[in-house]
Amino acid sequence: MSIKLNLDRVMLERKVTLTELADRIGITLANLSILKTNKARAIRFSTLEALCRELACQPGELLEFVPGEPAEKEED
Amino acid sequence: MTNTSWLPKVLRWIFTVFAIFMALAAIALFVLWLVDPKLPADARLGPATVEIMGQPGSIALWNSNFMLTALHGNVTLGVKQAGGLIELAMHYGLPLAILHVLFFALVFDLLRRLFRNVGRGESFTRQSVRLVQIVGLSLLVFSVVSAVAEAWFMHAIYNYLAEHAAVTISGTSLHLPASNHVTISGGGGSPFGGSYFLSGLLVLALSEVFRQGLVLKTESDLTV
Repeated sequence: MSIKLNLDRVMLERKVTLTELADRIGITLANLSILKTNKARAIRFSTLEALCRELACQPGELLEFVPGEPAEKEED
Repeated sequence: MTNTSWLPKVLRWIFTVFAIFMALAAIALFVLWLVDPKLPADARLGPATVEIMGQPGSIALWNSNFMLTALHGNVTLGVKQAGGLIELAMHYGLPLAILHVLFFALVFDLLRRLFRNVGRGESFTRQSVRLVQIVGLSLLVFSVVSAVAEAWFMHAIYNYLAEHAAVTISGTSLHLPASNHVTISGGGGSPFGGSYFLSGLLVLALSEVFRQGLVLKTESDLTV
C-alpha cells in the first residue's frame, strides 16, 4: 500500500503507549495494532479524528504517500 | 460475529448423525463383501411388489429360482438357479453401494464441519470456502464416477440375464441379445446430467459467493 500511517513515530514523539492510546480513542488494541503495523486497508474518518484529537496532530502528520510501493492484493 | 440462530446447530447434528450412519453402513457393506454369504438352495423371498415401467410388477425368489413379472403378468423373466445372478449382483453391486455410502459419509462430514463453522459465526473464512468448494467438486466427480459404475453394473447384470434368463412376452419366448457395449447415462435423459451433477454446479456457484464474502469480510476486518 502506497499510503503509510506514521502512527509509531507520532506516538513516540508524544510518548504515548499503544494501550493508553487505544483506551483514549476507544478502539481495541488489536485494531490499533493493525493501524500501527500498516496492515489496515482503510481508516474511518471517525478513527482519524480521534487519533488527531488525542495525539494533537494533523492528518498529514499521520498519513504519508510513498510512491512505488506495490498495491496490496485484493484477494484473501 | 456471533450467530444466535438455532438452524446451524440443528443442521450440524443432523449431518453428524447422517455421517455416522453412512460410515456404519459402509462398514456393514464391507463386512458383507468380505464374508460373501451364499444363497441357500431352498431360499424363498417374496413375492414383492415393485414398479416396472410405471406398472405394478412382482419379484420373487423360489427354491433359488428368480422370477420377475411385469405389465399385469404379460411379461415374465425367470432365472433358474439364481445363485449366479445374486453372486453377480453382490460382486458388482456391493462395491457400487460401498462407493455410494462412502461418498455420502464424506459429504455429510464436510457439511457437518461447514455448519460447525457457520454456527460459530465463521461463515466467511478460508476454511469454510474450501469446504464448500470440496463439496461442489465431490458432487461433480461423483456424478461421473457413479454413472460409469452404474453402467458397468447394469451391463454385467444384463449380460448375465441375456445368457441365463428365460423371457416371455404374452406367452411368447424371447431371446435377449447379448450386449457388446456399455452405455453411460447419468442424466436420466436430462440435458443437464444427473441431479448430482447439477447440485455440484450449484454448490460450486455458491462457493464463489462464499469466496467473495470472504474478500468483503477481510476488507471489513482491516477497516479501522
